[in-house]
Amino acid sequence: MTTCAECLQEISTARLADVRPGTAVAYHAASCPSCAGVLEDIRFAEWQLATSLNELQPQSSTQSLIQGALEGSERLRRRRLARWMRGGLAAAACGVFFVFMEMRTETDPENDVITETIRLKCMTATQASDLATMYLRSSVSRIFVSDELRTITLRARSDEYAAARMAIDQFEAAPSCVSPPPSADADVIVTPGQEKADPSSAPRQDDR
Amino acid sequence: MVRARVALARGGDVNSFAELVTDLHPFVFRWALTFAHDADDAEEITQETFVRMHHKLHQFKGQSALEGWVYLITRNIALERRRKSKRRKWLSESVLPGLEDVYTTDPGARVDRQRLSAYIRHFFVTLPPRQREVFDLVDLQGHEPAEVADLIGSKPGVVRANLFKARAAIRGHLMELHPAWREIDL
Repeated sequence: MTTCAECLQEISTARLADVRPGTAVAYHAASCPSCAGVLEDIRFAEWQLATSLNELQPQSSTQSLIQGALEGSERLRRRRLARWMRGGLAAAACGVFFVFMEMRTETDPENDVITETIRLKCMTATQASDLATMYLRSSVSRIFVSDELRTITLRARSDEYAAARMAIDQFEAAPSCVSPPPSADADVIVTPGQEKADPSSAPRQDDR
Repeated sequence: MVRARVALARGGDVNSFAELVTDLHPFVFRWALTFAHDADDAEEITQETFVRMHHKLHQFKGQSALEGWVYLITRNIALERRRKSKRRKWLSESVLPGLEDVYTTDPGARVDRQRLSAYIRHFFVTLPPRQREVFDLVDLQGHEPAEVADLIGSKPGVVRANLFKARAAIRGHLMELHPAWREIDL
């Protein structure tokens, strides 16, 4: 014998189309007006809901829908194309930037620096420094002076170094200079890190 | 027939696409109603569905029914819109009478069925989307749970669980409103 609680429990989750004559719920509902009322109302409410949803018709015409769909699709296509183009441009910009940075690195003055110590014969270190200062204009340029040892150390880009060295050599090679020319080995003291420098950029003692 | 139309529409034939839209329009609108806040919202979902359908027609391989594919588009658009607009302002909520007014107090306890209809609509739209969708497809549109599972790409067990919860929620509310409920000794 089905109780009201069991009947309502079944009604609360069962598919109403399955509540047919002969089932326990239907049998109980036939003898229990309360459960029958609940069952009938739920059935009616769900039927009403389905009907109201099914009877609602779209207000927009199919023609306008088709037109809108075609236009909207075209808009989406263009937007997609624009997105691809933006992506392509961004990639190209990245490429250009990368190449620029690479080129900039290649001409980085830090990689083109020569450091050399020159032993002076005629000029004092201070005089040579004043002379070289005119040619060493870049930020990496440095001059280290030692009057006691009569040497000057130049640190500069290769072009600046070449110009400064030429100017110093001109004065050092002047006829008024009485000191005997030192050996080529003693002329230039190579400091650590100079191996990178291009030796051809610096004038050789033999050339003078 | 449908595949031929799809193939033609994919190739840019506007007439074939128009025929497809004409056939599918009522279905799409009906599906959209399940997810929409109101009829206007359903119209917008319908429009957007056909835009996307035309845009992605080349992706339809014809291995499944066109209706199923379009249903998924409709569903995705509706859920996207739902995510975008967090508001849960339903049409039915604004016009609801007080809950105690559903049944009259006369001895026969006659049901005010018009109000009862308003209430079930209210309970329906306040269900979580997945439960509402399953309840609509199975109980209101008459599909089988296994069919619905295929359609929405879910497992039959998940569909049945959602259906169970949806029915329990809706009918539980309706039962509580029924005068006989209080008389029944549970």
